[in-house]
Amino acid sequence: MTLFKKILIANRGEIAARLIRACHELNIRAVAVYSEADANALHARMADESVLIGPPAPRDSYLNMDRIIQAGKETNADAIHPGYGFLSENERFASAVADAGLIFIGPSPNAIRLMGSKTEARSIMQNSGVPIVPGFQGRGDACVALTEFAEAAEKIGFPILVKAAAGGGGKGMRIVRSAHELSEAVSAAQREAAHAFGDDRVFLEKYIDSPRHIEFQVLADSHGSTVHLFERECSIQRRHQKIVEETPSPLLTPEMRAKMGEAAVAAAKAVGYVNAGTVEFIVDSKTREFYFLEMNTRLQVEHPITEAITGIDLAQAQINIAAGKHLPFKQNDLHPRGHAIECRVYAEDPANDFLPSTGKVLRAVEPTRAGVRVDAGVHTGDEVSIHYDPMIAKVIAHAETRDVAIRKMDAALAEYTLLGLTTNIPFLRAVLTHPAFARGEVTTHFIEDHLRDWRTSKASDELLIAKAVAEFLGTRHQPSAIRYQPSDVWDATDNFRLGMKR
Amino acid sequence: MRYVYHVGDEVKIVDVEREGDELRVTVDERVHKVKAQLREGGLTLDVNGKRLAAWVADNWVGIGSAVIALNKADKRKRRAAGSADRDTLSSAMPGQVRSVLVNEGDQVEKGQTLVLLEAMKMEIKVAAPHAGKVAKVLVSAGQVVERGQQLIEIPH
Repeated sequence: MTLFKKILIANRGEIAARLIRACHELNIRAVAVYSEADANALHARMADESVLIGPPAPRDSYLNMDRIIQAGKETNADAIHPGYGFLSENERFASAVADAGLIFIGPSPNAIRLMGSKTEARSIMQNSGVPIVPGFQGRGDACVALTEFAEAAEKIGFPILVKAAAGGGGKGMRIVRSAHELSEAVSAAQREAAHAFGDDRVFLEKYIDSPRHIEFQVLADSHGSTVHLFERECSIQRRHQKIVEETPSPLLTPEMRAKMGEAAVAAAKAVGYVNAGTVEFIVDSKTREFYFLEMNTRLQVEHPITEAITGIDLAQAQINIAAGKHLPFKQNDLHPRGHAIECRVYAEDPANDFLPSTGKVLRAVEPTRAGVRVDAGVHTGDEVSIHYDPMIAKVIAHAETRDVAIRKMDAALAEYTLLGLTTNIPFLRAVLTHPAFARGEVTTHFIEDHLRDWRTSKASDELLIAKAVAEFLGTRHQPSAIRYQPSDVWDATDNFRLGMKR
Repeated sequence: MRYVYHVGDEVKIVDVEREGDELRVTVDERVHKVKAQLREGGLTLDVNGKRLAAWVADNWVGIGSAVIALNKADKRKRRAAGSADRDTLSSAMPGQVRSVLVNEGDQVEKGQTLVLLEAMKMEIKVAAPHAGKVAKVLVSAGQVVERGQQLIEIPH
């Protein structure tokens, strides 16, 4: 068994901050890497040591394997944690880390490779008895003729999904509703896939009309023990990216949960999986059939809701597994408690097609309620730049019941102030307070179906008053003659009095 | 004192006057009785008996998750969502120009992709709002643009 003294975190933003916290909990020193754009970023400030790895563009910094591994060696790190995104699912990086004599905190390069190719993963799952969506993957190499796709599409039946073999996050994905749209969709998906992943292979899959996205967290140690930590319902998505996740899923019965959990464990075992991973399923809301979608060979953004209901710190578990420790529990020891919800706070404008917004965070005031956790990547004064993901924070609420968790989340979001850039917080509140969400009727089309016409609310009188009065009181020539007793409405020992000169 | 703010396409006029030991604040003809006190980063308010904590920074103001940028008349930026007006295309988001797919003088079809923009791992296409001849290309590949920045001119 290895004892880690120092771990390098090959990531940025909220996940880097969260992983540094996990290191500190285990009394392990954390090394941050940062780009020129992140010199003053939260993760670089929090770590015990920070290493500049290059210019802002991800390919020059957070995707620069050699530079990151070199930083690990220079700082004498024992291991590298890749977080999510960036190099987290890159088998070459996992190999290179090992070759450099460091430990990669994650699965083996081979498991990453097998699960990273959706076509390969599909055949392995098929052979392991894990249900998969009817589809067509060609021969797995680049040159599948369009006619072959067309024939296969007819066989599967429209609508059909065209997906990138190396894909994720909706990149290179197209819905095709009729035969004549197919060839254009295939070439567009190939182009987008080539651009995003450097791999233009695509495959076809039956498109499920009222799909729910339900995933299972698995943990596997290097001694053959594999367990699942129940599901996460991630159906609320915009642009194929999740924005609200919860556990347990309002859809699953105990029988379905047990069945899907077993399938998730079987999927992990089929590739000899070690460490934390997530098996994603698509569930047809009508038939309740479930199908393997993919396995994410890394920690997920939404892992905190699983932590909330199981009491298990997944980031710490990853570190312990990488150090060769045994899982300290078996499947039968795991019992979920209560209901947890996560909302992802994005710097984006929901009223402008969810396009990203950038800027300096002029003020960040996080909710501080019992049962609410905030994993933020930015604080007051931090920049949100065009270079990186627009997700700036996650809010996690945990309560005994779903209903209370929803209301607790809404109350928490209601007191989250972020000035300086447009965020999706008001939109998240619209999701949470929608009657269909309360009923648990969530599908991946939820936003299209229920909130397509959502608009930012107009400036309230209260906001206008606050702004004007702040300017009024901040004006130097205003006299301080307004008599007013602070104690009659609030306690204000260290504050300015109304109209007092500055 | 009178304060004039632009919110989207709307103009809001707010008058603040002292009245005894309170403030009298008028927003569009609606009169509010206000007590207020500045504090670090914002102010605490009592508006018609309701207590509020507001945060203020530059032109931004927020009360909890209700947040808005109130622009003064001179600072007002043209809001653009893909097309600022009929003749000029602007960027709907801050980002980097990945590629410009047309040259000045090109004849383009309605809906044709003219520019690819990229920001925060997202790529968006800027398409021609109508058919026409490209009069001016105002950006080049690699350039960083702001939201609302003009990209291409196509006279109607």
